[in-house]
Amino acid sequence: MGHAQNKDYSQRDYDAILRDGEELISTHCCFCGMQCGMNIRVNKEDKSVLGVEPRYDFPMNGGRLCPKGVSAYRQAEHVERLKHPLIRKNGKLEQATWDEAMDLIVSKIQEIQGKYGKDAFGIYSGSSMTNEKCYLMGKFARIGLGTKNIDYNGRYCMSSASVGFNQSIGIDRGSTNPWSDIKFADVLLIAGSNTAECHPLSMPYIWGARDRGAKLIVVDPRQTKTALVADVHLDIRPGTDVAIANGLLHVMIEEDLVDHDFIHNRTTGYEELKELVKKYTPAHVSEITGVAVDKIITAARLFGQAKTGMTMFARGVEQHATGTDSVSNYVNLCLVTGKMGKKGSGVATFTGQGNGQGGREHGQKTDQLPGFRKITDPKAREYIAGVWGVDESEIPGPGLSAFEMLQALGKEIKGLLLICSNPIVSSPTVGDVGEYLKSLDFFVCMDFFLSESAELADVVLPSTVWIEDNGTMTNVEGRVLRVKGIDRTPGETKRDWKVICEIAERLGRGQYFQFNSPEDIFNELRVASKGGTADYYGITYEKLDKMQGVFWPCPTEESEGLPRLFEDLKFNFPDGKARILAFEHKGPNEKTSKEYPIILSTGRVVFHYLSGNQTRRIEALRNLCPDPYVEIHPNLAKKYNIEHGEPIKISSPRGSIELPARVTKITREDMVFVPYHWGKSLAINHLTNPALEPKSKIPEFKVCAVKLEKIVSHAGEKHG
Amino acid sequence: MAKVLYIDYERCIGCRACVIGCEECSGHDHLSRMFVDELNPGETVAASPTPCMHCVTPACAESCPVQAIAIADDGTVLSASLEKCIGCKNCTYACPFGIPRVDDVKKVMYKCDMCYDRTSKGRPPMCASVCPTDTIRFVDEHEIKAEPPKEVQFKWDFGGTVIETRTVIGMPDTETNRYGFREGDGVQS
Amino acid sequence: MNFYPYEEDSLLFSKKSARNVFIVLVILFFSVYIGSEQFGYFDMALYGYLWATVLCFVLLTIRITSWTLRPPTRRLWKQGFKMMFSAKGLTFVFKTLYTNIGEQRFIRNRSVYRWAQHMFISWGVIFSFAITFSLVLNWLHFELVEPKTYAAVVFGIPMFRMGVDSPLAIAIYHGLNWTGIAVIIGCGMALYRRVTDEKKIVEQSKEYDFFPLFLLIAISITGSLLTVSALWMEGAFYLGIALAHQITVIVFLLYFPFSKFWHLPLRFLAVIVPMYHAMGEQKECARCGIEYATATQIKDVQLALEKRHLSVPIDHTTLHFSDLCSECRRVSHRLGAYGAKVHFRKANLVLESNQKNGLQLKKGGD
Ligand code: HEM
Ligand code: SF4
Ligand code: SF4
Ligand code: SF4
Repeated sequence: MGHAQNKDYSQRDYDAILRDGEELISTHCCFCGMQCGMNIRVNKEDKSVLGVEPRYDFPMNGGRLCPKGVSAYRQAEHVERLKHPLIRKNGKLEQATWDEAMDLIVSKIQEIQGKYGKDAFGIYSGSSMTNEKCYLMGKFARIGLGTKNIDYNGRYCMSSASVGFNQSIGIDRGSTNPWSDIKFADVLLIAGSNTAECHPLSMPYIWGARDRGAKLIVVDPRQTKTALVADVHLDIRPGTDVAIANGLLHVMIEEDLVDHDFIHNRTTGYEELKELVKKYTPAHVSEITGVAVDKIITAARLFGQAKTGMTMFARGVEQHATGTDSVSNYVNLCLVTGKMGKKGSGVATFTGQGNGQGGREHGQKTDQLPGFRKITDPKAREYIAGVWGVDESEIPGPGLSAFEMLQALGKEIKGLLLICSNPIVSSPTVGDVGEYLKSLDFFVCMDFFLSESAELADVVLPSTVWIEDNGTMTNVEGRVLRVKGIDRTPGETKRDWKVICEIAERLGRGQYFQFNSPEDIFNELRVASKGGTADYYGITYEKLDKMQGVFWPCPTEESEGLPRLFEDLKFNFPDGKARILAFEHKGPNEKTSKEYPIILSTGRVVFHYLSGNQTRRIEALRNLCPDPYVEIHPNLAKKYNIEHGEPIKISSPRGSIELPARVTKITREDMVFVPYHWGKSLAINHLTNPALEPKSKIPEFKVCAVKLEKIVSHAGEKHG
Repeated sequence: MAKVLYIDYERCIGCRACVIGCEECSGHDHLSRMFVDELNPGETVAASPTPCMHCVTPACAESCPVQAIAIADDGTVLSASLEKCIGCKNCTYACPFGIPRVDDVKKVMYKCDMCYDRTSKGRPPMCASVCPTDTIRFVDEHEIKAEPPKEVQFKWDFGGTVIETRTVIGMPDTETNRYGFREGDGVQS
Repeated sequence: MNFYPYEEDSLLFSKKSARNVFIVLVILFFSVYIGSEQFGYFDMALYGYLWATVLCFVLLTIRITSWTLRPPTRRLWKQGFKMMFSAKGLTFVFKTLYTNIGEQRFIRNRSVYRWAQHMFISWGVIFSFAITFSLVLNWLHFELVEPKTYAAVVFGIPMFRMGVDSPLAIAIYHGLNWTGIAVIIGCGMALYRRVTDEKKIVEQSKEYDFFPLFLLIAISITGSLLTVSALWMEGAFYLGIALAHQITVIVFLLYFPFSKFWHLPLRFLAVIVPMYHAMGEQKECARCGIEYATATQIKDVQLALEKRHLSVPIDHTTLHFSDLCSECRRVSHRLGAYGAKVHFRKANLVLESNQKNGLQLKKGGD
């Protein structure tokens, strides 16, 4: 049963229950790049959303869901949904009609672009929406608005992995292997990923490997739920990933646990690496990272000795000023040991956003055109211009990256269209981001809830939730899949791709945006991606349904996609050889100091998604995790005389915040950890460092220097 | 053929999808019957789910003054009958595993019935359906008891009182992955 | 269902039921004797009902005896009676009688629809019971004292008089019709819910669930038809309808003690519960120290379990699992299973697994 590519996955042999008077919409979760399959229970008559029913037959998750997935449907009938357009009048957002809103938007775009030039209107988009919409945003920016300034929130998320993969193996697909391969790895090295909480649905695969006797190595400053069950937990000081990887490489080279054949025939650059890691002895690395020497050695041996194995990482490795170095250095572990291109051998990054993969492939990244083409590549420009039916010169060049774009608001950029993102919670120095947004001449936002960012907009357009539209997403493995929606648009909500096409129409660019359905857009995307690295040409909606998703590249109609890359051991460079790159440990951009002696790291909890705009509104999730907190080791807490539950003030050079302490031994003693899903006064991003990684432009969310202060409560003293 | 719940709590990540999922079963009136508890708060992140153990001789039913707790033909210990339960809470204290809960406003006890609505149709209960880590599984009773994949608990000896449960608990591996330890520490509670 | 004999002394149940049945029969006999003024007024039309009622009382008595013999039930009744002897307890009981039985507020908290439905059924049936039993057992009868005036005689004592055509008289004559209509409405609502919510009803089998409703409706309809026949159809089919009615009522009376309707007597125990919870001294969990129950109830539960050989003690201590709050019970099992020490901070004990999946005092102190 099912397509052969799905054989080793975790689907289960049950049918969903279909109840009288109901229909099941089989779709995918909107939260995270696993893209778990689920059925939404819908009332046949009035199309109201009733609940969720497991989709046991979907390979990736077999009906399993994390708490976000189980409760995702509760957004659909949520009372806080935006049901009509809002326009700011006398400083307040007030109900308006679509006509008013569209007139205003179009006149403002024309006014701003007339006065300051095309690039003065920017688009900040997101990666939680379908490929169709991501593609459309890129196209709309370039030839609807004619602006170079479009970028997306994936910049904060996947960009280091993208650069790292490209420079090491020449292709940026989240995973070189199908997810089922994890089960066949003999060793798994997971770095900077709290897989258990952030990608819970990967756990059955990891346990699948462990049940076969695989070893698990986890690199994480915290003893997360993933690290709790690891064979070796390398509890590094945040920001020392390059060093720990160098240490592992050192031991493996020293003990000759490397694959010389593979290195010789399939890679370049090994000698430089060998030279560089000489000085990264376990003792030296232990000093830098704070990890015990014997654990470094054990981990290196486990990894080196295993026949097959995968290295997997996530934002903990990537959101650093040296993020791309770390990514490539972890890829090195697989390259020097020949763990590539086989069942159970490869590298992967855990895609955070729902469509983190697809969102970065089809041209909403400022330096890219569809199909992973470079916007500076004349051939690529020529081809895409042909697809779009415009002159090559009409396509602008690269613009500003996400955070740079925010910094340019009010300066070079006077007008902004924000879609599918909430940068005032998710960016570093959020206090300033508020100021940037307020300094805009015109700010329009599309969302289905009034996010913290939307609250500042001049016009807010109500869009539909994810289960009210059709389209495709591309998951963590590079599998393109179909999301299906209910045929309804409650109140005055509109599907955002329709709205974009309508704006284009009103701007007189309608001839390029003649789409009647997401499938129309997809069919154009297929052509646009043809010949690119992420080639979708052979993928059709029909094929997606039949095969339960298709892996790209899928260049021809006959092709069934490529679940495992590099089986021929030819990497995506002209000479077919992977690049082993060597990196010195530089450490984080901001080092601890006398004044700011503690490291702050931020991250996620299993109950919330990104800026929390959606999950904080779902009561069940909110109840499970209502507020942020500071995880602090008891020894550190004792130093500051802080008790569990007591509020503490943490400050960085950029801002401060007061949060209750959660005293726990799971964090290192030289750091604190705060989850980032909250806005306004609860946003830890007031403190985080906006230093950008030079190649990927990802901000260094994962490390900054802070100080802690006990809050002396006067009320308490009186009674005491 | 009878299938039961198998809990391998070493795998639990405390995400409580099972707790929310439980609300989704048609017979559950949006009241969750699942528990997830942190085992060593402040020490480790270890957590464990606890559904009803479905005792063969349920102490809850034996302690009920109005015989409100029935056992279905397949051995599932059901929630209290709506018209009989008087909300006295005897069952909540008698149960050795801490399962039944009483809604003080509605004055009725509710507990895990293995999603009778689903299991009676051959589908796994909601918790076992959604649990993202396979901590909770819906498995053949005979198989899991006769040939468990690791050490398991389903016969409980309390000072000579032996209670057999249909639900089976898998014991964590403290040898190789040192479950429950934090570097240098012993097992704490 | 779980309806097996309870006491170890198998004769105890027989002895007790025999005694109770005897007492009930004697009381019944005398009440009928007095009510019918030494069998002076005896409505022979109700003869069949009479025997069925007597049988119903006997069965009910046996059922109640068996029920109250169960250790937890017995304990709770005893505690209830004890507490009722204080002013506080008595107020509690009266208050709960009103909210729980009268107003049935807790059902309203479950669902307003189910509450309305149940108010119709329960009060419809209870008033029907009251009227039927009083007439059948001759506790109440009407005497024509003047050509156009009735006297209502209760236990042989004339209570009040009313005109034959007075609204009060009509209301009383047709009392059973009003209650019958209420029951039909209530049962109709229940049936409707069965159909629409069918998927939500996890409980028992169909027969157990639908039959009582059909039975109630059958009684009410045949009863009402009697009136219809008498008033508007000049007595057509009267005998047939009367027979049908009599049969349904007799079935109901015999079915009552062993069916869904059995909850009526059970509900009276509910009246004790709020008092039971509120009037005892609070008890702290032996591990975490939160107050989670009354000390009396924990003792009662432990006694009840002991009688059933289901005590769940913690080895080498005086504690039982019920000395822990529910959460600590769950957590302690898990900690024990992976070899952790289990600190009962409140009781100041350290425990460990007894290697048989229970817990025991940790060997060697701590
Ligand atoms: C006055 C004392 C009574 C109390 C406190 C009581 C209580 C209850 C309760 C709590 C329920 C469950 C309701 C729910 O949650 O849906 C119930 C159901 C029921 N009761 Fe009673 N009851 C009483 C008297 C009666 C009587 C006298 C009858 C008729 C003989 C009766 C017939 C029923 C029926 C047929 C149901 C089932 C309704 C359904 O499942 O939809 N009850 N009762
Ligand atoms: S769903 Fe599974 S992993 Fe999550 S809390 Fe429940 S048992 Fe644990
Ligand atoms: S709370 Fe309900 S089910 Fe539990 S013992 Fe009391 S009456 Fe029985
Ligand atoms: S675990 Fe508790 S609630 Fe479940 S059957 Fe046993 S005694 Fe009853």
